[in-house]
Amino acid sequence: MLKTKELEFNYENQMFFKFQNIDLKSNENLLIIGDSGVGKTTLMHLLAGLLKSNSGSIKLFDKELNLMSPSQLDSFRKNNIGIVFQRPHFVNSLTVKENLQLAQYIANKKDNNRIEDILKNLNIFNKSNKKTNQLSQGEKQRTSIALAIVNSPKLILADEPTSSLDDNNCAKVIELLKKQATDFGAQLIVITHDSRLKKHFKNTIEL
Amino acid sequence: MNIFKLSIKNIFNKPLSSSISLALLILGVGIISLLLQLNTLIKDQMDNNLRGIDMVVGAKGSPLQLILSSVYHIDSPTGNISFQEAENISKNRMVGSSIKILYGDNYKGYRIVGAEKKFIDLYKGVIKEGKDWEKPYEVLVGSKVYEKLKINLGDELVSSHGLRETGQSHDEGTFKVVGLLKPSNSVIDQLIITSPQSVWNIHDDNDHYNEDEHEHEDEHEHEHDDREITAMLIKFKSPMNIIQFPRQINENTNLQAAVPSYEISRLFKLFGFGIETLSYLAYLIIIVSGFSLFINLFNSMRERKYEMALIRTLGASRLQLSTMIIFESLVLTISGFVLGLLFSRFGVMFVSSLMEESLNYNLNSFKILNDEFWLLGLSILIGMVSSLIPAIQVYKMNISKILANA
Repeated sequence: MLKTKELEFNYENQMFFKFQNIDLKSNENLLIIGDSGVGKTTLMHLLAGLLKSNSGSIKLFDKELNLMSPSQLDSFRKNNIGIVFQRPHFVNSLTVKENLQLAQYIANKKDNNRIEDILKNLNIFNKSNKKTNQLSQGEKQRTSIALAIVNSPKLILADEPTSSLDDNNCAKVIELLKKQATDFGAQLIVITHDSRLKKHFKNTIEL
Repeated sequence: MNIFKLSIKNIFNKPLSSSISLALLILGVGIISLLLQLNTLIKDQMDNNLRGIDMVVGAKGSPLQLILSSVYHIDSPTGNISFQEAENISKNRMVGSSIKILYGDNYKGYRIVGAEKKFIDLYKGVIKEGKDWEKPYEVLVGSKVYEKLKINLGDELVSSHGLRETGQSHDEGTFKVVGLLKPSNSVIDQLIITSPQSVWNIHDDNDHYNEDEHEHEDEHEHEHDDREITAMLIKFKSPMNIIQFPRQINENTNLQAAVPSYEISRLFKLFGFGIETLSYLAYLIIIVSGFSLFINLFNSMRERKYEMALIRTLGASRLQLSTMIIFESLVLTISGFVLGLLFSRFGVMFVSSLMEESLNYNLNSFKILNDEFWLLGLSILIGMVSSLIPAIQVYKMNISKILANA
């Protein structure tokens, strides 16, 4: 499902990253772990099609990302990838439900039942009509997971989802992510420096 | 949910800064549209009353005053002229038609004009109720006068001397209302019209009280016709005469000839300067509103860079995000335009209610002027220009960099 080969990236300010090859089969989750500064976020942005590598190849669902134009990447992303950010971001002028509706609109979808299902599954259905800045930290994180999965992506990319959480909540969030991925038929790739997550994954890559 | 709705939600999410830009735009558009409306309305009204009058002959004095008093009935007359002299001029071969009018009295502030019957035809006056006057002291009443003063057919009006309400009243000067005129949207709506003879009669009687004072003059003029009129409205046979004839009268007689179209354009030039200055100010306000809009969008873009990056990672294209910014700006400018137009209409209503009190004029028109379509164009242009830079910046935004710095 995901195959990377000789992936390299360098920023204008001479930072240079060379990533080891990844080969992930369908129906498997993956933990990518590494210390700060080894290019975790860069790798995630490469996988999400937000950045383009200087050389090498990324094959995701049998499509070569490096050969796509920016607009093809936009449309590939909205059809296949959901992203959970380290710090949750929302459109602040919209409510929880409207944020999810916006995500559906961008992907040319409209399905209020699915929004309801997801919010119920994440236990934040009663916050549907709240503005996102009225949510608690935990609710924000759940909402950002909802945003990542609302368009039924085949792949969920999570960037440091647990770094600011205590052990208890860390386990809760990662189990929640895994459950959502299984419930909605997606694969999960978590990128983190948080070694507590190792025990939750069979497949681990250390950068 | 769609991009347009999102723009609207974003506007309402920042009510303060949105409403400042909006208020500036409403003010700018409103003032310009108000000036345009008033200018057009007053010009229309003036032209409407000018139709069929090429020249006015009256006593020496200010030509503008002569026009204002005898064509628009809003200023005091320059004085009276002799009937005989007016008659001589009306027989000139260049004169197509002439109407003699004379003032003397008012009824509760509304002028009583003695005039030949052609005067009513000039303004296309039609009798709604009653009949034309036949005998002296019979009057026709204009629509605004009978509406305001609740005058009915058959009422008797006791006039007072002069053109203002405060004049001394003629005890024997009682007019009988024989006809009511339909609204004609011209000056006759606010006049009480009677035969010249009525006015002469009243003032002849009146003059007897002051006989001692006038003895000398009276004797001097008694050999001739001593009747006087206030002014004579003249239409030429050929428009060419407008150049030569007034000068002839002004140089060769002790009368004054004034050309209304010329005097009115002079008047418009006078207060046109004020209008111009005010409209420059209003355009300046519109430009400032454009700046405020730009700063608004620019700031909110920086505040919202994470949510824009989020929208991009959700798969929205660059173009969709830029469109959102432009929409936000256009929604504000177009609603500013619409509200500004509304504001100007209320302004017109207010000014016309003021003017009706003091000038007995009625300005009621709500049509959209051509110049206002230009104003719409200008508003849209301001909206586009002020959102251009923010939209380009959003288009060129590096989402990876923004997210990495989060």
